Amino acid sequence: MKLFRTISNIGVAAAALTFAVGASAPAEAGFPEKPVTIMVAYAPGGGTDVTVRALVDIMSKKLGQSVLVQNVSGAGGGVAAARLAKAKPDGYTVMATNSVSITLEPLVKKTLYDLDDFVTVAMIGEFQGAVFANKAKPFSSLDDLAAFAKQEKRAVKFASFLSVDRLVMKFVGKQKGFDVIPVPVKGGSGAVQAVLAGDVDVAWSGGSWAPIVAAGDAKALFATSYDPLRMAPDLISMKGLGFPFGTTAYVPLMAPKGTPPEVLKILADALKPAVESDLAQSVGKKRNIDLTFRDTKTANEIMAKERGAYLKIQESIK
Amino acid sequence: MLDFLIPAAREILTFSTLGYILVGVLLGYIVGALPGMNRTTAIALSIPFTFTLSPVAAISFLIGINKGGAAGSAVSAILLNVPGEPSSVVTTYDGNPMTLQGKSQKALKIALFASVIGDVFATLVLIALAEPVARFAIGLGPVELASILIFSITFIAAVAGRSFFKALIAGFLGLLLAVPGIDMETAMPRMTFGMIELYDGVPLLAVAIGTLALSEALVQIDQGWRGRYSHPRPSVKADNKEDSALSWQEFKDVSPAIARGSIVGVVIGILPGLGATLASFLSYTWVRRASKSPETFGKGNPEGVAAAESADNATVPSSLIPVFAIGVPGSLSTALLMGAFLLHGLTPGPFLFRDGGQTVVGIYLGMVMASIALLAVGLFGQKIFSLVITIRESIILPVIVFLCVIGAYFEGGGMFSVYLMLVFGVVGYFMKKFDYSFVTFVVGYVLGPMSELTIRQSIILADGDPAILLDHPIAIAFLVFAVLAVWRFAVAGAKSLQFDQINQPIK
Repeated sequence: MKLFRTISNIGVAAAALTFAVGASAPAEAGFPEKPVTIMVAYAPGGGTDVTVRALVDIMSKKLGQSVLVQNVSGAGGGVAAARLAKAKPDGYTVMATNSVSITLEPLVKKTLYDLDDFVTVAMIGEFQGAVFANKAKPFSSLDDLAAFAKQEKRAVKFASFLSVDRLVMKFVGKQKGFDVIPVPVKGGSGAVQAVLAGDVDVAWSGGSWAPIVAAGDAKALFATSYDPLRMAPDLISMKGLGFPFGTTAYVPLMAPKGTPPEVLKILADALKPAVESDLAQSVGKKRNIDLTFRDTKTANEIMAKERGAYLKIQESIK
Repeated sequence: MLDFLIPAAREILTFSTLGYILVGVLLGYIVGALPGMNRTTAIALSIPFTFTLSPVAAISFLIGINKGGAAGSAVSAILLNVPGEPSSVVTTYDGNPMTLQGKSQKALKIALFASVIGDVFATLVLIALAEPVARFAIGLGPVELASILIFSITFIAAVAGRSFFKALIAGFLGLLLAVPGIDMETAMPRMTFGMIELYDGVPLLAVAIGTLALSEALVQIDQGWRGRYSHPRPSVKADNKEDSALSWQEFKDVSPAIARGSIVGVVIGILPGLGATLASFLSYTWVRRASKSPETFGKGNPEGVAAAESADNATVPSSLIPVFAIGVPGSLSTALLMGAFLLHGLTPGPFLFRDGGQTVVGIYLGMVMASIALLAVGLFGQKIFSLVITIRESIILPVIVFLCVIGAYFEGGGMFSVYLMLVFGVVGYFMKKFDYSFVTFVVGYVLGPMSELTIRQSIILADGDPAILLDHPIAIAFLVFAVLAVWRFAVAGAKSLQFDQINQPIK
């Protein structure tokens, strides 16, 4: 028995040593020398979470270190953003979130962070936001909806779960002459439920609408982006409706401000093949997220443009 | 559907797929039995491991975890009085007294059979009726859900126990926990004291682990400190053969309870957002009310265990009905499962059958296999788990505390949840000491957030006009039930208040 214990102790020690040595020998010197953590700002199983998880395999191979996914949900992305703002800008902590939480949220409420606390590593994808309604409703377009509201002499009730949907509905309402009342729901699936139950007039969602519209249980009225959606090019967009702006919601990978540009480049270079891989693209199609990689420079420009657009929209609904 | 049966069966009945299903159920059972560990976390952590499996194997594995977890949570509830999950609180009511009477094996067997039967019943409902049932469920909007929840809250009065007043206080304290967070209409923080961790509301799981598991551990530590341990404890190996076995007659006696529990579990499971806790709670209350000897409940009546566990397990397959048929998840664990579906190339919803008929039949078979595996795991695991209570308290209790800390940390992703759990562990301890009805507190904080959401949604939709109820007959029905329940229970409660006052000890 004693001999067995001694041998197994030596065996365990040898295994531990092997792991220790193996783990600390980097593929090449420099960043990254230890695992990188991606904070996903939402609960597991959601669109953002599943997309990121589909990327980590290839990213880990490219970086030579494991990429860990950590879910930090809360406050629509606010908790994760607040944490990232305080993290060390060394590239080992990054965050995948909904861009709206960074470009719009600080404008509509008091947050512990703002756009300049971060730098964008790259764009992973773009949500496909649209307004949709139950198929039995007597309107099929925005103008129909406006006419319906005037006829019924009441405000339009819509299912809402993000500040961006309140913003866009208020904006189109003001332009087309009807009032809106948001009915709070929980997440995209809450919006889908509300529409299927028929209690709300319309709802907005970043992508959950696509399956039920395809199934014929609901109809999409219009896309809330300025240009037509990549995944629904036939759906009329804000530009087609004659509005000067639209809302966008991207999936950016963010890092704290001050992260060195070389580190950003390494992360972006590892992210690109992951986003363009077959696995990620198929996940994106299923979850109705347009996974198109955009590099660091383009990504930062997009975020700044988005912030500008929201500022203008806010002004116009004052 | 039937022509898919043979090829699907060929896919499922391979050693590796069956092996995965068994592992999933076993994993879920263990996680459920360990206090502080939660099956939702187990599912979330396992999803990445399923990337390389075939869709049928992967989904069956994850559903197996869910089923195992629902059944396993009864084990620690019965043996240690520490519920593995909030839905097993009600199981402790009669399960633990049975253990203290030396009947732990019997209780475990009843819990297992009830769980499996509830599970199989719900699986059959899923397979046969997914589509029409889901359509109906989805037609229930906020107004109906709000009235169902209001009705459920009145049940708090029904299980008030000895002191009506204290039960109400506990219930309201539970409801109070729904207050901190971001107000859903104004999007402004409410009662968050500036703590960003509270923006999404009080993390309920941390509170659950604290009030359910940690508080019980503290109570038992306290008892030990006062010298009330006896070692060896009245143990598993009951001298009386009768106390370990489950006779056919006893099984027949608990069958009505199992049937009731299964029905309640299926109905509650289908409705989005309500959850297993509400199911087990309502089922227990119903069975107690319908029983010829309600005063034996809470002292070791096997029907109580059966009712709670069958409802609890029946919610697992039935909560998948909206996912399969429409693609709408009703709870966090179903949302995770839906994510797994999508990851493996299946789109839940009306097209699921059309596009992946064979896979779906395969998953159905997998679920049936999981139920069988559950029976096997349970019977086997019982013997092993029962040995737990022969271990000294001074070893078990620190392990429980340790598991609670880990569970809270995992769940919340940080120390905040751990601190919260510790605080509520102490709160729960005092509640138990001062005999505040514990289950009403749990019901309060489980139902609170959902009730507020649906009631406020209803008010907004109605523009504050109660006439909207006329369009929703189901809602009217439930509100009437609620009024009747309040009338009935409140009258009984007021009488007990009088009783309390008359019998106040003279200070």
